[in-house]
Amino acid sequence: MKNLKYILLLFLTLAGFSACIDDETNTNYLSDYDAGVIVFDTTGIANRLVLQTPMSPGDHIEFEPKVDYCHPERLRYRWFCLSMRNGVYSPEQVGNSMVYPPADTIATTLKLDWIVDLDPGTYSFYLMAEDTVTGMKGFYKAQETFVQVITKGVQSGLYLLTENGENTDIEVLASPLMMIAGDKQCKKFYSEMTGSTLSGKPKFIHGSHTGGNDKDGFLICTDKNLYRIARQGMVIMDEWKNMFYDTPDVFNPQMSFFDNRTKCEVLINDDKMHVLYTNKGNDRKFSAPIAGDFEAYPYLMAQPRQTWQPAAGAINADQVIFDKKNKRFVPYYAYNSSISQFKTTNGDAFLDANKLPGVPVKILNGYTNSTYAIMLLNGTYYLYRYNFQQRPDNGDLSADGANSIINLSGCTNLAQAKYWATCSAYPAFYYATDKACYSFSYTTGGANTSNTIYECEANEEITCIYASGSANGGFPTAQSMMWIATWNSATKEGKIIEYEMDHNYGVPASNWGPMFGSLTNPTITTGWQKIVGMTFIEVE
Amino acid sequence: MKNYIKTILLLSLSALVWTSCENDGFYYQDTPRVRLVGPTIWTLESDSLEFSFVSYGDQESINMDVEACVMGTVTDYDRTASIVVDAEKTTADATMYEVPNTVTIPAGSNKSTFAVTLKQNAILNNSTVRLYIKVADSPDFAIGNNEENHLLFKWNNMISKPTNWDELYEHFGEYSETKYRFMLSHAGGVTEFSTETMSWSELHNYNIIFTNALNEYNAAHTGNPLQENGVLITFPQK
Repeated sequence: MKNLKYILLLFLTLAGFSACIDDETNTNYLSDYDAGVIVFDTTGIANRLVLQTPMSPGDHIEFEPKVDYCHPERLRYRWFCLSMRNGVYSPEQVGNSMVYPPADTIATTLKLDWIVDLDPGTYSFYLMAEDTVTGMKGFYKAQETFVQVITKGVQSGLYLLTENGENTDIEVLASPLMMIAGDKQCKKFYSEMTGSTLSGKPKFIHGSHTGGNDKDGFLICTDKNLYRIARQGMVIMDEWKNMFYDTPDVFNPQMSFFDNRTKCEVLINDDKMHVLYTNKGNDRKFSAPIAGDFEAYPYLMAQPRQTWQPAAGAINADQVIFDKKNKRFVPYYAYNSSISQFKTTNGDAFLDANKLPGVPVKILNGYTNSTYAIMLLNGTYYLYRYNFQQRPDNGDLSADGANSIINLSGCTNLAQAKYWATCSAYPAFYYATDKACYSFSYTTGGANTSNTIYECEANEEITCIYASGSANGGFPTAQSMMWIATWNSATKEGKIIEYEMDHNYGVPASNWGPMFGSLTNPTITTGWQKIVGMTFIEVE
Repeated sequence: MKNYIKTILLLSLSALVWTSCENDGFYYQDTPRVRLVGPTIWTLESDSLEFSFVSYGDQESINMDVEACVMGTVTDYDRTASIVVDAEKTTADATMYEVPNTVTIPAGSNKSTFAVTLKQNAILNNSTVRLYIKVADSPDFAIGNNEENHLLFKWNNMISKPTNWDELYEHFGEYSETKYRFMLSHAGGVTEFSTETMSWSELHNYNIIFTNALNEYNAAHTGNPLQENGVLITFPQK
């Protein structure tokens, strides 16, 4: 019985020691390596970004990350990818249930040596390493979000900005009449190529660049974002949040234009003007707002400066904008930090560019790069014609002397106009209400009445109009094309009515069509989504 | 008797074992002390910092947040640490800074943050001043370890013409001290401009930013536009 005391004391002693052993483990952690954690490392690997940049079917991908593990000989590997929808790995409808699409195994070796065989879309790539003895697994995700698999090549033609549900899509129309674009209709072009749509409802599309001097991309605005997208592969180059050195507080893009002659791109956002020059070292970012006391109207000149054989003493601004605040046109000269002013207007000038009688209803690029301002004065519409190109700033910037002001009283439904278009090579301008499209040209002998180009059918409304042909189109039909886009609320499909047009008089005319296989004028195509913007950057 | 001795011996041994366990922990068991930790972005985890008002325009002062961290356990009552200025190691006039004499460490907490205010002064245009603060003994805390019982603040408002100004001339025009101060104070924290690290567009962007800022300044100072020795400050229009 007495021995019980010793046994108890012995246990107490042992318990005390065991407490000490426990304490020791609190301070002696195993390293990840000793604990058997599988660690991936891409530091120093030359092509470590290969799975983070867009790829195309047929591309050869080689990539081998480093693996740090205590028993590397026991590891087996599996490269796999997940298909994403709109950038998210989400379930899809299979029969009556929603299931996550299975992962696609593309390699079972540490080194990925793979020919891209995926359909265009967005994907997320992973490498799994598994200890075949303990079952310990480690995963390496090759990109933060996803990578695009895109179709190679470039589509030429009329790019259509369309509504795809609550988001934005791009479609492409090419016709024999466009000559340089082929004959094709690429419905849902962007979403099928990239596997995703652009966030937000569409606002505008204009030709742009990818940082160089060529017009090889687009600025696309939705109500949620502004995108710079390369035409090659439709890769998103920039978004609103990284398009500026200092992102403006207010997101309100109103207009953009890239003049690939002066290499000056201008963006009007929230009445402020931002510039980007591609012929200078640039980071593909817009500047801070150009200085000056002005509020920019959403209008930009298509060709403000003649770079080839400019007229002696010509204004030669890189852009001319309208200042809503002071009701005046103002020039912006190359590389300046501020807007400038035109000379004081002469007393006998036909038009005063420094003081308009009001803010124009619409400003358009007019004949031979003149500027049209549609004015509403005391209930009557007028066309004011200015010229800021290929002429000296001599105090009278009216385009055509006494004929620079034209009464538009004869224009049908001008007050209801929602959409506008011009070809800056010829005098006519076009306007459209929801239900009809009209043209007006001051060359029709003084009648000053409009022509009706198109009237909608039942359940149809016009959603957009566009005329190609700046003054340097470069091919025969470049200066004679026009498109009207409509939406049929009953059939839920968009339609494009393509015209060969005589922009001199603003009426359809078949001059080139019969030569190039487009026998009907207009040519109609259907099955589009709702079109809200168009651009043909070769002749923008 | 032998059994009693054995029992006592074993009891002693047990007690010794338990005692050894008490010392195994990493917990600080000494007198509570306080150490000072400056704002990391300025001190870079050292015991001093250097600050220039040049990039802060007309800002009259700046607060540097300092943490008083307790070495020891938390308590269920407020405690007070004493902070003093070491006059021998301080060159700034007392009007050029503000430092609290005491810092309260709330009950249940092991640290508290207090502000050291560094102030603008004309003397800073030509020289750097120093402020050396340290922990003093208090009823609640002893002085911390040598490396962390103090903080040194050095600040100035000095400026000199960048050696690369010739390369910047295209964007910013003629150099003047007033212009360069104005630039730095409107550059969003940027402290130098370089054609090697900045693209033409980025420098052009700064030209526009400074032009806008100058327009605002001159509009707010009617009749007294920004100038140096009677020469108006301007930025080049190309």
